[in-house]
Amino acid sequence: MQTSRVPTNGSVGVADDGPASASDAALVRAARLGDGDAFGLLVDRHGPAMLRYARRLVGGSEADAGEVVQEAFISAWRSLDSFRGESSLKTWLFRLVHRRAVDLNRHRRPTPIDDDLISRVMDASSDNPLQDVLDAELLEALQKALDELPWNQRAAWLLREVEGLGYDEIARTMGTTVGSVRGHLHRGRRQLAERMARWR
Amino acid sequence: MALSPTGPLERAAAAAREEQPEDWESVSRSVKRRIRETITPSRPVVVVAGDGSTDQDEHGSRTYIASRVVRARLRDALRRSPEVTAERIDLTIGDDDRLARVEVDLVCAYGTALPVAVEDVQVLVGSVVSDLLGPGTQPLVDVTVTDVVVGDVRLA
Repeated sequence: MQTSRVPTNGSVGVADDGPASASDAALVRAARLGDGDAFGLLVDRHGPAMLRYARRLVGGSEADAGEVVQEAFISAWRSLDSFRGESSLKTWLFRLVHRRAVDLNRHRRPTPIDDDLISRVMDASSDNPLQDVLDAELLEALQKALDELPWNQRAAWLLREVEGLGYDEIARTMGTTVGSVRGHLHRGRRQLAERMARWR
Repeated sequence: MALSPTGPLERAAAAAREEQPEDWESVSRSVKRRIRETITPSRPVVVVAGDGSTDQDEHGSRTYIASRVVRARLRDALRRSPEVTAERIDLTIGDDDRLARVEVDLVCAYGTALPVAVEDVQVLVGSVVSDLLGPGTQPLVDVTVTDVVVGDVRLA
């Protein structure tokens, strides 16, 4: 059995592997005690996927998606004590994004989609420009098809097919049941496939 | 071997999965700035001399340290070991602005001798508090081990 002697001096506690390799649980523990740097690591670990999800969900608007993700993280920072680890941190954060996006959707009228915002840089190091163009056009078509889907179908499809969440995680994120998720996914997939068929 | 997506919807989903939002850095900076600007609830804690007096001079001047500073110092001190870290630090401050009690919930590495770890933490908390708030500050220190994890507690 190893004994414990907590050092009383020396540098601030960063493990040899560096804090970037810390688990979500370890970073949450530190952030709960007010460690903003630990929370910053969580922001950069989960934020890009949250922003990607928010953007597709709110119709491709960078500004709206950025606002949704910022509000979600501020809410997370203020309510870290309420995170009990019953779901993964990722699921909890996606739920916060989903709620903020729902609020945004309720309070704003639909706006036309700026095509320039939909085209994304796929991979800066790509050496296949033709494929990039095809992908960009495909994504543009996907966004238009997603925008025509009912909200819950859109959210369920994005969480499953793009973010790779399990059915129970999607249910937690959307605040619904696994059965409802299956229904939303089934209908969403069918409608999206019909709308994207011309690309075959 | 992974199969390449063939249908348009599958191809679109694959392309969407590869997307890296190019404005992420800007959003990240904004989030972190707003976090820094968030006000953490805090109370002033009075510095107490070795004789128990809070007066710093003949005029009765007093020195205060914000409780958020005390908590942050304790947090950092309790994160220097791979075997022990805090997951909760609560401070109780009396009506006289003196620090009356420190409660610490600990996470320990599997295999750590818990009584030794708890004793070490009590000594360390006393030392940090004394350095910050004066030798006359001698709060009760309650330590509870709430979890045991495998590996370095700062990473696991």
